[in-house]
Amino acid sequence: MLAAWGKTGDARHRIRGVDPKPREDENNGKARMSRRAFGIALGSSFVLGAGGITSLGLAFSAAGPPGTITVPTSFGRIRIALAERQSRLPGAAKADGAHAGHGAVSGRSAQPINMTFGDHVLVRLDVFNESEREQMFSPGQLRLRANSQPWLVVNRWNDLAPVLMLPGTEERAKISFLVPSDATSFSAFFDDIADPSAELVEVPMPPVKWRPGFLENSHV
Amino acid sequence: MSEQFPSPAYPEPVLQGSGEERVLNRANVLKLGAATGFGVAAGLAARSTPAVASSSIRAPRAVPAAVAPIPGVLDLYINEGYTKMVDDSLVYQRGFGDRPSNLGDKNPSLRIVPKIFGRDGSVTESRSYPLGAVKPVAGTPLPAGPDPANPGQYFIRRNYWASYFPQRTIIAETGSKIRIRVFNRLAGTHELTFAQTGHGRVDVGTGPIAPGAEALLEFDAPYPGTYIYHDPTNAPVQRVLGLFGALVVLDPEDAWRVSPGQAGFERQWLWITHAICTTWTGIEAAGGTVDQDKDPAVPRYFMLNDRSGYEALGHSLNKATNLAAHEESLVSGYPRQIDIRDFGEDLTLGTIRAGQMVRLVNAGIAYHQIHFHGNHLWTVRRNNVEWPREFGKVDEDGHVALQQWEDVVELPPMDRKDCMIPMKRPPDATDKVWYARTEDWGYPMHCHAEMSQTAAGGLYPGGLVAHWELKAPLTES
Repeated sequence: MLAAWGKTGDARHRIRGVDPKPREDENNGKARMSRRAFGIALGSSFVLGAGGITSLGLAFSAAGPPGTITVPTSFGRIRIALAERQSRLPGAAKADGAHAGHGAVSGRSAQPINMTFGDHVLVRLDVFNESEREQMFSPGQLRLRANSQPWLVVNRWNDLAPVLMLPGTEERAKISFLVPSDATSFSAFFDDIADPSAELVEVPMPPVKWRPGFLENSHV
Repeated sequence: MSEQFPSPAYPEPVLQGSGEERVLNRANVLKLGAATGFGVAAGLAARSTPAVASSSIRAPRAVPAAVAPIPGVLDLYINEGYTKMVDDSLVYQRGFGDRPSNLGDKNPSLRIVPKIFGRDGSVTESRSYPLGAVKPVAGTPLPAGPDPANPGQYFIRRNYWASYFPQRTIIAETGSKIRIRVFNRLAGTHELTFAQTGHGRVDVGTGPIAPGAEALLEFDAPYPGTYIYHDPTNAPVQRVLGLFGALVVLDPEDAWRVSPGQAGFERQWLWITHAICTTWTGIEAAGGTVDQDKDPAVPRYFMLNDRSGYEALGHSLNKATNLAAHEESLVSGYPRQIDIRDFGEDLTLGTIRAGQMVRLVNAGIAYHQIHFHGNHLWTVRRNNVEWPREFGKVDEDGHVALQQWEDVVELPPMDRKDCMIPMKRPPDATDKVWYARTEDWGYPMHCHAEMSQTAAGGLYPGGLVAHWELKAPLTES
């Protein structure tokens, strides 16, 4: 108890270091802190707080945003930081903010006449090269599987050309996949080309949110 | 082709607060202290450098670097690297490159820019041949002028336009000597073989080249025609991994014919097809050796001049890729009258009544069935043997060997066929339609072996596809 360290403090019984009841000030009933105690508290908290915030930042960077899971690769780490789902064509309305995967059941929107999948899922893939070597990365290394179909599908669009990642660098790519409208959950897999003997790396999907609007106005 | 859509306004991820005012109290001090401890621990754990994957194929070894060139000698480097496929995946490949490169290079040298062995002993790098001939803009030769007897059709220039060739091409003029130095920069033994280029149609090659070693191959340019060079090690595995290319032999004094006295053409196209099996590439990339009985090939990508799908069609977002596809692969020209009795017939000085020659090459492992819409093709030769115009025969494999119009051209692995696309008015175009046309008419080319139309196990049409164009009437201006 910081107040107990001051000149005016007196010995009190503590339970596992915790004061069983608040100490009342003898004069006005409010807790009182000496200037020294206040200085120690402020300085200590400032140092500890700065370290904590920095460390939280590092921890956040390492673990990713809430709801995401970062997984190791042979060259560093990857995670899917964000995921959104959208119908391609106007049709059955989805509730804004509802989850579009992980058990949620979707309504069925209008389907493209060429019988391709009626929805698309857009993810943001974060890639960290923590090895000491340059590392090739292309968004096509990520594939997606919907629970209503057996196939791994390749992306339909992305915003990043293949890039040579320098050691210690990070890349972010937005990647879009066509998915069947009856899918309720998704699995993502990453082809770790730096370890060709390894299996595909499963990248946990964060909650998939419905994105308002439609990808296309029509499909002919 | 994947369309673009507006990038969503993604909010940057933020830590959600409770909305309460933060005060400095004991509890917060403890929280911050705890956060410090956990944060530091998490940070240290997260920042620990991961183990770098290693495999025998990437073991340190002496590899030949670039060497001083020798006049008249083509240097080839057996390299490895990753190439982007039509689905933006990265696939391990090997190849005969024209400079040393390493596995991690962004642009590894896995295929050469076309090289020409001249009769004068020179080796020249050029995407077009004959040297000095006029290069057609976007690959399309312009006509000499309208054909007054056939409205809407044109006279075609004779011996005028250069032809563009794809990467992996070696051109040798008859009478030249082919001299190649090969450097093996990989961990395994490889070799370079030119199939059927020796006397008696035997193969000519370096024999096995040990890792880090080099070999010199020298032989006379064979009979005019189209040949395949490749690595026959554990055939066809190394070919599937990318160790192949095409040799075209031409008579420089009669460079607009497939061979002296044979079919003449306006320009020619070299179509090199192959298939990529990622099961095999994965095994070899990890330092293993493919056991074809245990792991039979299941091609995942089907290429035409090292492009497929929308990239082969010139519909990508990359203008350079699109232009190369048009120059090297996408047949185009102006309609003309042709006479199949003699593709070299002159009607007007400086003109020819012929179409364009497509040299079909299958360096892969799939049986292809090349099918053009709009015009049939006239097959002239198979594997550099002229087919007869009459008294044809059925060969030992049951194929008809006779020059004829073909709707579908069969192309088995390691086969080469020279086919004339006549660039003629499509037979189903009525006068009313023909005389009303104002724009290019495009026709698809696809392979009737349907699996070859896909990529990545189902991306359709992501495979061996192309199109050809019959150009619109020229305006007076």
